[in-house]
Amino acid sequence: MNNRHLSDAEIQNYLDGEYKGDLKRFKIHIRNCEYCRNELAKYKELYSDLKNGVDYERYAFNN
Amino acid sequence: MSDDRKLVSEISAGNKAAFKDFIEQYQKLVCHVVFRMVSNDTDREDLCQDVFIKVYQNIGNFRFESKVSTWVAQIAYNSCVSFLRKNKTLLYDDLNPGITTLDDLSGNNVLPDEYSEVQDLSRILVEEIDKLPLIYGTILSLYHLEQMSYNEICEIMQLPEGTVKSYLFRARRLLKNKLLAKYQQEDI
Repeated sequence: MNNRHLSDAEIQNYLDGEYKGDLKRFKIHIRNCEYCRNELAKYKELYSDLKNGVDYERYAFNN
Repeated sequence: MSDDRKLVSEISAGNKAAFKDFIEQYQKLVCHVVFRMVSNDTDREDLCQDVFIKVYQNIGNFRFESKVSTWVAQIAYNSCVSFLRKNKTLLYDDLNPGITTLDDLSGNNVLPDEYSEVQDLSRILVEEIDKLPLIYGTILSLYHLEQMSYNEICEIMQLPEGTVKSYLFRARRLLKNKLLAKYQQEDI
């Protein structure tokens, strides 16, 4: 993991609570790799938007 | 007796007030499925009504082999699928040009300062979800908005777990890339 970036699947599985690999190594990699840290942050933001969906709903009903 | 069992039992006995409570409890779920799958306002309204009519007609046969929410969502999903089939709309339209490349983001003339940041994000997200195949958007809504498990989504949509996971993964990756590209473009 240290020699390559995390895949989208690995990051999504982590956020879904379904990451099957070594969680400690995952976290160390995130700490040391700016690219993967940014990717994780982008996904976290997307998950939050999808979960809240408040404005999405309002948009849908007013559309 | 659980709240759901009590409610279902009262509706089966003909209690109209209980059915009103039931509609209030599950209308958001029904809307999440119907609004994701059907775009026309009149059709949406008709479908939401149809779903609750079907629920009322069949609730006497409901045996609690699944959660009430799963059963209701399944009726909503199946109603939408029937409607879309009649209208020859593709559920798995992977050829939708909106989802294949990042290049088609060019030509968006909306200025960032036309909207507040939150409204803008919301609007962009909705627009991008609308470009996904219908089935992707439905899975996103069930998983993230309704917080349903893979098992529940599989039961509702009659799809294998691997397929649901794969669609969910692809939908989120596409959205992440699209939103990122959009913001980078607006920053220029």
